Amino acid sequence: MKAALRVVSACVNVMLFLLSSSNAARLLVLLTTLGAWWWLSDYYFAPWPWWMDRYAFILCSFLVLVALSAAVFWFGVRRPARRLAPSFDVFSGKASNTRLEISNWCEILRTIAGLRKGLWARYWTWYRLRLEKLGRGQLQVRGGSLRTVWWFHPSAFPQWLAAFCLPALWVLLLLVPLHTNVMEQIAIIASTQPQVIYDVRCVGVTKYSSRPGGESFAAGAPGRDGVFPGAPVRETLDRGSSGFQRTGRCAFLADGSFEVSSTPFPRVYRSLVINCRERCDLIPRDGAAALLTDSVPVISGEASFKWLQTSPDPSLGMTISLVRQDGTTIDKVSIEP
Amino acid sequence: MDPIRVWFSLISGEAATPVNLVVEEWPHSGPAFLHPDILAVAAPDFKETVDLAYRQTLFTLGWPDSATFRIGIESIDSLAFPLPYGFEGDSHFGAVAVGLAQAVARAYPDHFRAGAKHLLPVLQAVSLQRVAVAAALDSKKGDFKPVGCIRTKLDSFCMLEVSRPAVCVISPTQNLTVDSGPLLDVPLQNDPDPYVSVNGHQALPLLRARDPIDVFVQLWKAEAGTFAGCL
Repeated sequence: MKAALRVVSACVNVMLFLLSSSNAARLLVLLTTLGAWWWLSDYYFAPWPWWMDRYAFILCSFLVLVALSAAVFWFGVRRPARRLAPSFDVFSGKASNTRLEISNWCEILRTIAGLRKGLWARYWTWYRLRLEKLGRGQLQVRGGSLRTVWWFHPSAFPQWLAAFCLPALWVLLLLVPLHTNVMEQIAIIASTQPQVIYDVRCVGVTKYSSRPGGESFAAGAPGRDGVFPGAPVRETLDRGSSGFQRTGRCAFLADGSFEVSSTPFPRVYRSLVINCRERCDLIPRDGAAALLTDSVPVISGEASFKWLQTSPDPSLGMTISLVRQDGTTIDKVSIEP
Repeated sequence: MDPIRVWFSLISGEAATPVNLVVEEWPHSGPAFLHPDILAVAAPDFKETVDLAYRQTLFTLGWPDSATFRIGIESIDSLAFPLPYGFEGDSHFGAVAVGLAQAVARAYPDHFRAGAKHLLPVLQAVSLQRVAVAAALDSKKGDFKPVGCIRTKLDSFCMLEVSRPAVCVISPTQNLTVDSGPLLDVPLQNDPDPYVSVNGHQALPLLRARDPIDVFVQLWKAEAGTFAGCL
């Protein structure tokens, strides 16, 4: 437990160093935070719960900061320190139990900083400057508590301020409106394919029953060879000038599913708005009461929904609209009969 | 000031005894002096070496006006390693000089010479508790010079199982491939860092230093490497 706390406090020091003294680290965290915000909040995952749209970028930003701090701690501080450690240990107990005056610790940190160049030297020099500002005279400090002894001193305010700029950025980004039109425009520009509904596949199983109030369309129906009860149906509807036509076995189905494919631009939110116009019902996936109008999300260019014909009229009279998140319609087709 | 302890080895006959040199503050002005019990059985060259260490400290680092330091010798284990009946030789110079340097730095930093002030943190902070020194004084140069019976002395440190020095400081010109002591017939190692005891004990790291200040500088760097892993 103590070892874990030591590592955590050392990583916090590295994090404070990165956020207060390293422009490269600050830029990296800023860019990844903005990128994550834009990617996850402005540009959505359709099946995500709303709070993921809103808050997921904070988690990403925090993880980037933690990963960066841990990487710098391990590769920039701890591993080189192990290589620099001598083959002997002159301390009778643990070195971290050694008590020295702050001025002596500062000199030790100055020496440590001089042992290597680059990030190592910058980190230990930053560490020394934090301690030098304590100015505690003859007070002796144990090596183990040196990591945190400066944390709550007024001189540490700029470092904590730099660290708290990141949460401030998170709050600022939370206040910015979600789902602007930027990604939609990129989707339109970047996609080489038209933004339309491509295909509608009809999926279902024929039954030995009649349409409500109509003729039997099961096995032996005139002109419909090969249609028998329990026959699986999976066929793509023909697209005519007025929309998609149920011309094959699908015409004999009184209920089933339509699988709709459209432009699969990655992760731009689209939905299908289906309208039955009182000739059919739409059956929600969650088992709720049937609807005349429903909306289903398009995920990776694919969406499906179940329907049930409720009218003796052979025509479904169904319209399917591909719409953006803001409600504007991209494409609209009908399914007849 | 807490007493400062440094390891060294005393030769008595054909055997070497590991001991602690103890430097304590004493409230009278004057040169460093031997504890009366030691003084009574010390040979002239042993006393002279303590005086040389005092003078080197005085001239290179400084010395307090109103106090001095008493040099004592403590047995590691009075039953297993009893102190010899007499003290002779000059190989304890390094231990005395190093102990006095740290004592002055810790107890009287204001009396340090201006040119040596920048060394104060180094001399104050280095831990000598597990450091052994086996070096004599080259009076012409003021540097460390080799000591006799070096393998016997190093073996005396190696054979300790629990409490033993972590490193032994020797002169840069100390040759471990020849020995002027009683173990001349033992094959000597060509690459003597760390020192490998002929008795199969754990190897003893060696640190070659020119003078007491070089001892502190090298130990300081070693300590810095150790501290870097735990700060």
